[in-house]
Amino acid sequence: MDTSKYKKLFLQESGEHLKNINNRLLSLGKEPAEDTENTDSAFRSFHSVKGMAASMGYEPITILCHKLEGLLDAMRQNVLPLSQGVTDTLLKGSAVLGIMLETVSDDRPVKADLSPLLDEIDMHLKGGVEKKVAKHGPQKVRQALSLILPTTVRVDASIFDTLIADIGEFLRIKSRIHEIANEMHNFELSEHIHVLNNTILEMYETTVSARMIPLEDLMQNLPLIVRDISMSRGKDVEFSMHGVDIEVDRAVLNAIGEPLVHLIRNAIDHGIETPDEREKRGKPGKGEIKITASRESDFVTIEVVDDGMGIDHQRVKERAVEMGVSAEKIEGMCEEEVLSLICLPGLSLSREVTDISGRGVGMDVVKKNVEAIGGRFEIKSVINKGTRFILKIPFTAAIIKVLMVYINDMLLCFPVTRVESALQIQMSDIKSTENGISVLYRDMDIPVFDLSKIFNVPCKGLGDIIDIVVINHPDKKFGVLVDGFKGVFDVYIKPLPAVLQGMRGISGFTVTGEGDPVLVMDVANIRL
Amino acid sequence: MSNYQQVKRMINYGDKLIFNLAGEHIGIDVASIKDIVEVERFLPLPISLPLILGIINRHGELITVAELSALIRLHSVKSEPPYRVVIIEEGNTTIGVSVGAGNMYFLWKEDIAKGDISPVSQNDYFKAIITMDDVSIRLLDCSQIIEGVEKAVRECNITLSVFSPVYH
Repeated sequence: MDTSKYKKLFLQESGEHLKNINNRLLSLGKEPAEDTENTDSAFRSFHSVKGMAASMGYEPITILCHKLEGLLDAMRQNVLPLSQGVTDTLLKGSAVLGIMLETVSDDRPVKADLSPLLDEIDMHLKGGVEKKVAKHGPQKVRQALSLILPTTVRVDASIFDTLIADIGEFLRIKSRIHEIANEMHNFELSEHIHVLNNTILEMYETTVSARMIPLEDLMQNLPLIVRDISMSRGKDVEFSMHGVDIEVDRAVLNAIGEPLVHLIRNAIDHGIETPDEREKRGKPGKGEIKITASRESDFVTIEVVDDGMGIDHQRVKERAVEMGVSAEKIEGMCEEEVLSLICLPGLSLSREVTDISGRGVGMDVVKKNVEAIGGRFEIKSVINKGTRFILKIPFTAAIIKVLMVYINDMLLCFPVTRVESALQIQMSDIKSTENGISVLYRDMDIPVFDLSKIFNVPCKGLGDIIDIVVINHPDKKFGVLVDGFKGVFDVYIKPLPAVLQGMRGISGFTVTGEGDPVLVMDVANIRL
Repeated sequence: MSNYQQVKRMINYGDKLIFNLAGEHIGIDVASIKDIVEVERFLPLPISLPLILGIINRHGELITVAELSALIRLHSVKSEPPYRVVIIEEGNTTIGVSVGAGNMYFLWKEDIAKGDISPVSQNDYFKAIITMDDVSIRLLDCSQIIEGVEKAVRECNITLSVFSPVYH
């Protein structure tokens, strides 16, 4: 196992345990009433370090902690009385542990001749080494220790949120200064602003990397949740996770924790059948729920897949009609649209309400949470085969590169990851089609849309030269008519106000140097 | 305690902002007001909901602004720039309401105590009527205003769709 990525965590946690051990050992004998608590606490800390060291393969640390914990255990069992000699041996042990942790930190091999110390511990355990131990107290060992500050610090995650918001504000102010420099034709100032921009982006990348955490940190409790729910529902479920070492911005993970638990609950409660039912349907008695994660460009796709009974499309339609959705509208829907109806607030397919699910509360929250961070939620399901819930989420939700365009005098942003190209074409290159107009782009006719109608802003009218942004939509490429390009910028994205959350097609907004809000398009969620 | 007494007790303890909209005197609890701003324009939203005028940026916070007269179904008073927007906050939700260009003044709690008040029943957006010197002031229920805007947006089932092709 590659343990290098866990080393930092090991050192951080062991360092905290060591600090506790020293505090507790130094308190021994001072307040006899607290000796039991201090002994217990030091014992638990040695035990924890032992477990972590064993996982990491640091054998000498494991052996040392095991012996020291044995000494403390003898005290806890009242087999060994507290004495200055025992305390000194324990402190000597903690000092040696400190030195060993330093060698781990320095990437040096953890080697130590522990035999004198281990002999000393054994002699205590056998009784009667008071004099010898007292002569060789921990002071000599401790002299070898230097005062070293820890290389990692624990901080509240919200500090990173504030830092990133501040960096976003830096970017906004920098944009304004850049505009002023351009107006003044001050090229020297522009040069400095360019350097400032790079520094701000470096700051951002460093800060965001500190806020990135692996998906598995979020999902570590899922196996227990699956176990508990499946047992309570009489289901037998094999649960597995794949690719969950992908690191994602904590701000994004914060939004998907609750949806993931909900999807898992639903999969067990409504998806996976009981072993008897499964066998009747020719399936193995044990159901399967699998979470897979993969990263593509700026997005992470998380799939929650079960091999259960699937979702009955007809039942979804019936329930949606009962909820007031027009039957005519439903008949015109494709399969994916029908399945998305289960995200309507209050729509439940279950005929039975359990303590876990069935109240129609949840899928709407899943969708809302995912979309609130600029993600996309999709459902695919086949009767008797199973269901696949797909969450496409951005791996970071803060600063992104956008193409800023004008729609009349209104500004609008497209994430550059979704922009195929920005074109200037002749009016004569535009073709009329049944549904409007199209242009030839790389040997392919692509439709062109006018966003001014959607935003209810006056259309400037078409001149001889037309500006078009070609968008790379997940379903197909299309063009958007624009009234000019402002440029490509790194912008800090803020979420939409609560009232507007759930608006598909807009992922958030940014603020220009002048303080004007600009909407950021969520291209993947635009309906074609 | 009767409903009347409850309302009287509630409204007697706070100052009010009063404005004239479509010939009516409307009041808002000052405690619910976060700011009053004047803006030249709104950032339009891709929805066709006349109630929503657009959004504004207030110190980095995006505020959705609604046309109050449309929400409370007064005679249509379409706002014109510069728009006067009262930003109200209830709980964690903040919205702006455009209140037109009519007179605006404060009514202090000591003055309100001298007037007559009566609760309003079965009205979505008002909680009481204050009568001062023969002038009736309808007191807005800010939480209902916010809920009304949220409901209207929710029912709009907003999905940005590029269904409208270019005319040529």
